[in-house]
Amino acid sequence: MTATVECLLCPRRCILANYQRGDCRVRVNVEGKLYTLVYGKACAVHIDPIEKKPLFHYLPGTAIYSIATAGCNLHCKNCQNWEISQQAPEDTRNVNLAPGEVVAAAQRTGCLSIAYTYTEPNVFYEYVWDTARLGRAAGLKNVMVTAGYIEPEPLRALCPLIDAANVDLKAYSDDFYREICGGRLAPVLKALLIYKEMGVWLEVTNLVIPDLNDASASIRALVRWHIDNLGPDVPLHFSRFYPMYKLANLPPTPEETLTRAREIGLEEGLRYVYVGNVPGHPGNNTYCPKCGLALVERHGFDILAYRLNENRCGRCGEVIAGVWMKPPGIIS
Amino acid sequence: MNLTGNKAKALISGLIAVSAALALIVAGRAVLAPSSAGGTDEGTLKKQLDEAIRRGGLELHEAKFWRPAPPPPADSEAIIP
Repeated sequence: MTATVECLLCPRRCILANYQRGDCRVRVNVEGKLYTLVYGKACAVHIDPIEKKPLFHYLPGTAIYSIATAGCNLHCKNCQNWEISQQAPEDTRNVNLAPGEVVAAAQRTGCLSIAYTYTEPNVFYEYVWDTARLGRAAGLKNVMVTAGYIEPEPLRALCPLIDAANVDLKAYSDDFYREICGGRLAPVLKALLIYKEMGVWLEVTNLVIPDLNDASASIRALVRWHIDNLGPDVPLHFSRFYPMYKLANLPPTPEETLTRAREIGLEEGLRYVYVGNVPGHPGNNTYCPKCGLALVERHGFDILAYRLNENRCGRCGEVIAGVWMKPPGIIS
Repeated sequence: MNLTGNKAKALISGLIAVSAALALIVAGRAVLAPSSAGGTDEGTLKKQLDEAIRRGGLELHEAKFWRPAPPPPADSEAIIP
């Protein structure tokens, strides 16, 4: 009898000898059975504005209880959370936080939703699963903030528990995924399609990195794939890169590059295109695609004004895609 | 080579010092090699896992989505995607 196992969670499909861990550092074969080492072991716990995920069309202005464990199945050279994502769980500072405790804490702190975020929630799948199930039963929403590097079967199994997702599409380039992230593009595109098809509210983020994925042609290709496959109503966030981890030698993304990316998105027919990590940029706002009214004015993660009536433009009545509610504390 | 007594002593002392340093480096490598190389034999992996679980206060929780697989080739040292 063999003690070797194959992990079927992510496209790496690691084949693990006895006592060996997967590429994610958190799944381990022990005597022919696969275990996770991070169930209930949170290495990051915060209450964030939901705009930080970023989700701009989902319960705006609300707080979201956000958790992570160590580990990731990609190894992006630009990772902003590399101190926890690129570590084994014995090398991070963890707190014991069982799924029921996550849900209770989210409720106690007035959060409407729970985010599985910061590192890669796909690698703490079982923890997400049990927390999401209990959260759903308690009336909370569940949000995945993910790179989407997961096999179709486990994703399809998880989606009924997930209400919204922000998927980081790092570039529309397999070379970029291989060279910068140590992964592949195709599984991410497949995951995006599954989220969409299974009715999860979806927003997409693209971190624009100078010289690596900022060419107009690359951005246009990404936008076209997005429109053709996800549709023009799925918001796209172009986010600013800051020098980080193994790409600390690169400059921050110039603001004009992000403005240009947003213009390409709008030119191609996307209805909601945002600029992220640049507080005060006009691309922080949500505009009505029909009449141009600034429906949600933001400064970074803060909402300054809100002009929707339920899910419609407050001026022309155009339906605005998303899951809307008047943000707490907003009068206008 | 014609060396005076003092020069010969200095050369021998130097050779002894170099040999000792080399011996220490070799010994150091012998001690450090298993952990720095990661170790791939089952006994080493088990020891590393036990230590990680102890140090990190971790627990084993059964994972979803996996299956038994044929053993990897004998010469493989790592995860085989």
